[in-house]
Amino acid sequence: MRSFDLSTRADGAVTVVAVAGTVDAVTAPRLAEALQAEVDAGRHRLVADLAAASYVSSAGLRAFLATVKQARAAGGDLCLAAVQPSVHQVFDLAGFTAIVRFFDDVDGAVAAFG
Amino acid sequence: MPPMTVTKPATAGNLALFLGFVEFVADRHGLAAESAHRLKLVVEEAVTNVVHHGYAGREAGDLTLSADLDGDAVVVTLEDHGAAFDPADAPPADLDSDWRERSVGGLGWHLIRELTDAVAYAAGDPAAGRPNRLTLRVGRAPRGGTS
Repeated sequence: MRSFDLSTRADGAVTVVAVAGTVDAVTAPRLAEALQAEVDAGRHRLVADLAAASYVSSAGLRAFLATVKQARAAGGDLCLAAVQPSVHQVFDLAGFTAIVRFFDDVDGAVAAFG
Repeated sequence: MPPMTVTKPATAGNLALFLGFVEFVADRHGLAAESAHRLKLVVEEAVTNVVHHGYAGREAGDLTLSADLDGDAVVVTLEDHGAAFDPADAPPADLDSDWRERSVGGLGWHLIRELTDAVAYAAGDPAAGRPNRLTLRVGRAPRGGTS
């Protein structure tokens, strides 16, 4: 069964958005909305924890890229953490690994914001 | 096992149904996780293209998904009566520009090309009632080097 869940928490000055399940054309709008809400609230230091995300299609890539652009334009960033190998392959095929910062775990991504 | 098929209007509201069908196909054919993942990705990209572009500007018509085994591959066929679009005409995906300029346009077809063993397309003939037909062949054997 397809499932999707989001949860958000603060880690110091960084906001960690944990994404679980399937990010596809059906669920990606909810991800985009949640990330947009963070940016709109002035929280530009973002980490997406993808440890429990088993699937990301181009609909999800679009949501992440839009947020990367907005966060960086505001002086922050969106980093991606703990990406599963099968999902990482999609980011790689899409050429995202050259423009988005990836980290093995959430702590490393949070620490990167200094 | 006979071919599996579903026909529904190509609307955003039916996306979940079409994607659920692909999961059902992967499950019924006992696909390994890696090949099931590839199958889901390529069919999702193809279905969303029909939903978002095929019937743009008019009432959505039907999309039929069919799936069958053919030797070492699962073959999924999409049939619709919307605007014809040959994937060979898709612009190349933007994989190189920096983050400011980066667009995700064309990424769907790029993923389809990368993750299928073969893609075939035949434009339909509205006068004859013949649908556009996109055929996606996804190998059942896991691909190496995916980590």
